[in-house]
Amino acid sequence: MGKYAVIALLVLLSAVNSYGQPSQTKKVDNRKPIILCSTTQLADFTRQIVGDRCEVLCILAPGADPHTYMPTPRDAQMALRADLCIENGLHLEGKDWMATLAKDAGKPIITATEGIRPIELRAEGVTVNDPHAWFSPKNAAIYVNNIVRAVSKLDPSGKDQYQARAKLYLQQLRVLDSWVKEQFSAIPPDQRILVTSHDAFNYFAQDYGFRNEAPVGWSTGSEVGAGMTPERFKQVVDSIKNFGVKAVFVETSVNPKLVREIAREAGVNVGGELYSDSMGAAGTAGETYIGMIRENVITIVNALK
Amino acid sequence: MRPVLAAVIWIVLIGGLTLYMNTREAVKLPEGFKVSQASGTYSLELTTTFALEPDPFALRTTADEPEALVVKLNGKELLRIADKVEAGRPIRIDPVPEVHDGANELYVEASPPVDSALRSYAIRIQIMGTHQEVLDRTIWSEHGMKIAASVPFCIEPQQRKEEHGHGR
Repeated sequence: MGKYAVIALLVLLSAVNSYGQPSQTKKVDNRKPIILCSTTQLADFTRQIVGDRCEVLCILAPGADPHTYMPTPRDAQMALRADLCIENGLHLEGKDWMATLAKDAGKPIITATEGIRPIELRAEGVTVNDPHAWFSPKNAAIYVNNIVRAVSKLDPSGKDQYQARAKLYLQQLRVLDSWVKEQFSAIPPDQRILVTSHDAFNYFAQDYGFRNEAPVGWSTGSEVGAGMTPERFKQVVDSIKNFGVKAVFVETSVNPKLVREIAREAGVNVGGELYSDSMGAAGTAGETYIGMIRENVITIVNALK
Repeated sequence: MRPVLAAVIWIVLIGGLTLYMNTREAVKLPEGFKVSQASGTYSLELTTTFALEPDPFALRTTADEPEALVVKLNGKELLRIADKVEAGRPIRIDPVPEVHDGANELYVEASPPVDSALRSYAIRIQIMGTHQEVLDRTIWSEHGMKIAASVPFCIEPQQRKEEHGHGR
């Protein structure tokens, strides 16, 4: 009898303890939204906005070339896991591989360059839009705003957080822009000639008063107006000689052989390595967008001033 | 029998306490400080040394033009301008709503031109009561940076009464 009384009381106690407590049986979905970006720059912008609220994945590894990249089965698996895909657009991703990955996986995709006024490049009788728009911090702000709108739509409950982070990051971009102008004021305007591996720095040159020369066209791939031609090579060497350029630059994501050859031909130094289509590896000074632009500017100023 | 009795007493005590903790009314928190609206009339005048223009680095949640000037008082937005305003042209808000007795805070965010980033710019903020000036402050920007400043000011109750008296 006593035993039954204890059991009954324990049951009663258990019932009393659970009274008023929130239900533990509700299934909570704690999976973070997954955002898949094509390039390292896009992944950095997205991480700055979403913080730890979303998981950000990137197809390209630091140093990889988006023009010539061929997606792998692992990329297709990442696309299948993703809730949102982000591409640069303007055909930066050679043969639009990111749009194809998203379409095949049936996932929504946004183009981060939407709303940017592209620089038109004329080559081989055709006009192409330069895809390297992130080199202008003002354009980077457009990327950030496009990403904020997309992630806010994907996860409306995080909207305020995303906007708060974006507002701070946009201010950092503004400070970066004015810092770049201040640094370049040390280079006389007639010395502001930027010779790089491929034609990626037009937006940068436009914003900061540089003339841009490159032996390889807007893409390192095989698209129209891309690649290296003997005319372009000669034009670059002539420009270096005519304008008394002090140094030329190699890029982290492009084979440096051609620029070294140009440097030898024109009798100038290689001023250093610039981050172009990809940012630096984790742990390097160029692992973020702001770090990448900062390091490029310091390299250019040191070589040309 | 004694262990059963001890268990029963223990269960009754703990069970009763748990029941009480779970069913008591939530503690009523004290009501927030009530602020009283300052009587009297106040006006705000902003004058910039630069032409206001849309900020290319503004957060844009819609397709609208980004704002060039945002003014908030005590957390509430008073003004948002997306149009260009030439340098030196005063921007006036009269009367200013939401001025409280005691501590107030004015927040001003303005975007100087980004293309001449190596200069410093300023914005002058004046708040006038009916007969006397409440605030006159000039805020300077760092090179190339946006002006974003919180400016506290205080409306003393005496000042309020005086304003009120003069207003009659």
